Amino acid sequence: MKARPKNQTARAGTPLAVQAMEGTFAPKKIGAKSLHEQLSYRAAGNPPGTLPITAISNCFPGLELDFRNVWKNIFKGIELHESDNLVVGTDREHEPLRFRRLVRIRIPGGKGFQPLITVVRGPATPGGEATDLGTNALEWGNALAVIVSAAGSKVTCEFTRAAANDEVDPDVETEPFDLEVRNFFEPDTAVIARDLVEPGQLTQSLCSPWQNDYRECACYYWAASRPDYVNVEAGPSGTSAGENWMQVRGSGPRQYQPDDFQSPGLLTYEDMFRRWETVLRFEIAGRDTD
Amino acid sequence: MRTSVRRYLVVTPETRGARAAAAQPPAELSWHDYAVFLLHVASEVEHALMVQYLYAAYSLGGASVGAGIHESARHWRETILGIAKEEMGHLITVQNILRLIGGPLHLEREDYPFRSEFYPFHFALEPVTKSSIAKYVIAEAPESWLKTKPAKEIIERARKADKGRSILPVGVLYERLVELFENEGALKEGDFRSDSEPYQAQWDEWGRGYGSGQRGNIGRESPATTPDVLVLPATDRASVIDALKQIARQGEAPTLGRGNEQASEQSHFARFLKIYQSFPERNPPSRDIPTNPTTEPPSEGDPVSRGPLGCAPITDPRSVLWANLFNVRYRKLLFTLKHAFHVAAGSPLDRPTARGNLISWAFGEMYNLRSIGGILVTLPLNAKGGAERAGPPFQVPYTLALADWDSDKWRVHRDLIAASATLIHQLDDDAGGAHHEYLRALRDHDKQALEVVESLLTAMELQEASA
Amino acid sequence: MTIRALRILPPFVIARLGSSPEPLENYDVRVAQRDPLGFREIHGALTFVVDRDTGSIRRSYTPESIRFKDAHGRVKPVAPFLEVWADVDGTLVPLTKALLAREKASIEDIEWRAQVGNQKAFRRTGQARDRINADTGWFTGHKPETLLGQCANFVARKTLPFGDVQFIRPSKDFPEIRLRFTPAKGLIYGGTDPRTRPEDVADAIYDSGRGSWSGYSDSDANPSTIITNPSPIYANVGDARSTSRGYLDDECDGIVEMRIAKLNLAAFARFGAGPPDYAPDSFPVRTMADELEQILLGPEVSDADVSSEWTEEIIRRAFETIRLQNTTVLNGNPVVAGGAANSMASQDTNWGRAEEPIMAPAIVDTIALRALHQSIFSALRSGTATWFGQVLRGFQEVGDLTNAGRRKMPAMMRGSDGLHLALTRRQANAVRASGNRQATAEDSAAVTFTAPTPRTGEEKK
Repeated sequence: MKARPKNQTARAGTPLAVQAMEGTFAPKKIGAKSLHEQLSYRAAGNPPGTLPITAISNCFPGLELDFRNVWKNIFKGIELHESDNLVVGTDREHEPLRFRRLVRIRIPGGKGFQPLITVVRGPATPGGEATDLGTNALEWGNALAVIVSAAGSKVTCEFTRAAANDEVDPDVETEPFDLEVRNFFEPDTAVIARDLVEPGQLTQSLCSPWQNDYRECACYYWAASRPDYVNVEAGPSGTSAGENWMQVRGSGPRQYQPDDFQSPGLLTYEDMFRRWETVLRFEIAGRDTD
Repeated sequence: MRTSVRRYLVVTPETRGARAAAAQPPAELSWHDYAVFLLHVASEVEHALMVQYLYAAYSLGGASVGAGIHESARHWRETILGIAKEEMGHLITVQNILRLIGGPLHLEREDYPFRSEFYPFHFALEPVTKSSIAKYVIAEAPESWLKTKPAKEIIERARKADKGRSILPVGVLYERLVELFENEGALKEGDFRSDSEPYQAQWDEWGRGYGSGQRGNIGRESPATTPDVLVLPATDRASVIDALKQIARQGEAPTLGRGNEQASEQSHFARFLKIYQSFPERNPPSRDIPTNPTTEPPSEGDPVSRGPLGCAPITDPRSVLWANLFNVRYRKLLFTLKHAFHVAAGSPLDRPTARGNLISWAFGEMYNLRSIGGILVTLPLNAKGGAERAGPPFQVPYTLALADWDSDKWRVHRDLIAASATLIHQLDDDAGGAHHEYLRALRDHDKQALEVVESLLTAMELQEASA
Repeated sequence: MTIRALRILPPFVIARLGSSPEPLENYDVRVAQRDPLGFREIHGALTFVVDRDTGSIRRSYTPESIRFKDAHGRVKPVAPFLEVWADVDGTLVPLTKALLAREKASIEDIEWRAQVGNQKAFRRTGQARDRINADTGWFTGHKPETLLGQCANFVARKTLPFGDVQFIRPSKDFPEIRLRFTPAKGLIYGGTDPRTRPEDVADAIYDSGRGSWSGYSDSDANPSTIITNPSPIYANVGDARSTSRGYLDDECDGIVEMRIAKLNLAAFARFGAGPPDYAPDSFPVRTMADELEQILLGPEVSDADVSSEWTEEIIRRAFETIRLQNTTVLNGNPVVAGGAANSMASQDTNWGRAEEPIMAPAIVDTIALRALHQSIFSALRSGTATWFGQVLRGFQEVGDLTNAGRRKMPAMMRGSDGLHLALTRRQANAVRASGNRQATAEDSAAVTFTAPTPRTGEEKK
């Protein structure tokens, strides 16, 4: 399926999702099987902020939604933790898998195994040799991308042989179970399948209330939605000068206050709970606009 | 190289192998002075090799590439580009050594055509042929291999290609340098500055900390990994000797001795030899571009001399503008590189300095050379038409000298941006030309850089006025 | 010609909270042709003004400029429309009154239902009685239908408003069948115990005597690893146990569905309500659109799908993010006295990794990094083939905390697993393949070669 401009103002090859927010992809009809176009469609009157391309997906835990939750129910019979390879729930048949860890899956089509655990390695002292520091589950979004096409069939999943509260090594002893993969999308449509997530599940692992997270999370990795560094210009030493987005404005010379949980010049929890609409500013061209 | 310094050159190809350290430096020079001098020669050699290899790599491609040779040609292009990048690393490392012994940096090179006794071959920007590859093989070859039977044919071919002059391997120069630095009677401890490191180029900055093989190649059939670009610190005599040996080894070692290397991890010599062995005798997969293109118009009554010692004027008016733009960006690269050595790095936990901008801009100019070079080889050479295409001229700027006041160093960036802006404007305003998107991005980029320059200039002028 | 099926488009739509009675106007976001490295420009686009009482579109217009807050400083909510499209002989077209008439059906035959939930408290306590659900039930007509969240542990007769849905009355000018979701105001709700401070909340609706959300602590979870990651992320009293204040917000997500019983047709779509997008002219490197495309189209890309514009878009988003980040701080360098702030460099120490800046401090200032990425972008625009595929972090390399590993791209950012961010595999494959494609383009301006290459495979390990 090829992203092609729908009128002449778009550059050839511009992704459909980008064309949608540019307003250059606004079809009057769409092929019933053109699921990519359906997915990218922007309804009349909807500003770009309604589109998935404006929502961050490095969800730790996320802003608009915690998209990790779409993977929780990808295997029939078990519920996975949204950000860990832990089985947190099962139906009766799969009760023995409760609190075990999913270590690897057999990639459909005889393409070997996809490990779901990665070893974390690095130096323990500055400049030192890298050593193993632990293990961590890989994010579902990339690791499970290869099983979506196996919907409706069973894939071999290898679990730890017993419940494992702590992270396990990738070469831990395992026990295989064949589990059926659910449809990700409702058949013939581009809508996330009904039985994959229930109402409320896509936001459930976000902060409660979300305002709290803006204060404490140091959400530096979502800067294009929740800015970090604003009103930036070249300073006298040739490096940047500007302010922390979460900084109280007008409280002195322009000096970035790091979010180290104790800087005095930053917005407080109370500011966020009681005045978030006033104190948080929209940034257009990197500058406060209100 | 200016003729005024040629008289210090005492090594000829015939003297190679004369290992005994000279008892005296050349007349008129002290040992320290001689070391600076040889490092300047090394700088020019690395610099000249770098641009010749870049030109060679840019020449590969175009409609002459037959389907059967397509993957090989792409592989060759990536290989030669990789070697050119490594020459850049050598050039920077040599500047670090100059810094350590307190010599002036040297990023100039003599304009072509020229030759001197330490130069491996006559400087020539030329499209790739089997004969040009032969010259590169010999220039990078280790001494032991030159005596082998398979070498004979290539030596002879290279000699013919270089107007009958024997190619001088680059290794000779590095041997001389190593001998000199190993000679404790020549350079004294007091000749090494312990305080120069903040003003040296660092691997973490110039290599961006990428390990082997992450430097970037294009296409599936490209070398899977690439060797490190050597940007080595020079902190004392031992580190200088080590750096010089590493440079020499990256050039000429038959292999790097780590065992089981991929071809791409081999020395320049080994990589060029491999290209040579598979390169076709006829119909090279290179574009119809000239040798030594130049923006200088042909002078009246002086017939254009072509060939390895001649120049090919670019006369198509639009191509000339692109070639002018190329030369401005080439100067900006060299000047930025040199300027970066004059702004100290912060300590590891310190805040960044303006040096970061210079490093970023230097990378930007390397990309620009690649971009504009890529464009030039598709544009016509001659105003009268014809199939011949233009090429990147790499003309040497009139000066790379740094002004005394710091603010004036930044002023040069402003000048170069202004010169570029005029050319970009001329190229962007007619309806027929292509590459508007690139030109606008380049102009935008310069505009943002100019904001940084103006901010620095204002602050420095104030500071200098009150000093 | 009959209607084979119905679809609601978009299949997934995002609303954004705000207390202004005026919804945010429509706009387009475009790269400026004359200023390709600058911020994208926001241009007003066709905006519908809905009469809340009658449900009809009173007028449409194109605003000259966009303000994200109203004159009283309240945030304008993003209130999306969802349209019904009909599959007529294999082609989707907007469902209209006329099309319905051909099927001998009318607007009155259309029924809607919206169901949303907020399970944030339930996700922590595990108590089913903490689920907050709202359901309009099946409805017809064009009144706003409020979504009132109900919960077994709420004080009697108290509800949590999630906004409303309204079936827009089709008209001659606007004959399409559409529904609008107007999200909640962004209020906070609390409990009936002293952990709730009245100044923080709109209402105390949670019965702290019945439910355990106020007073909950992640520290009590059993097994301990069942808690959210990151944790604890809920308003708490600031003690060592991070004891919950029992606060709830009015974010939600759910399903809207419609049916025409007499034609035996139905469709549904999903929607959610989150916080405003505070940098509406900048976009994240990896977005939900990238996730959905990877799932729909797979992690592999074919040469035909790849374009230089796609790679450019990824690089553009990288510098859009960088210029809103203090990359010096994120590198682990202190900018003011008091030490380094929270960053990937500091997060890495949680693993026992040495505390070190990620990159050489000299090169990490926001302006220098922005310039570098913009140079790469410019080079791509000249037709130079992509050369940086090898510096992208592979999705299985996220645990490599060596300096070489941490310096891969995207750098200094966090992925969904809490480790260093990798692009989606599809994005990474697109970048790598675009180098391949350009190196082989049949375009005379292309830098290198002319013959096409076969389809590329999955990224190599």
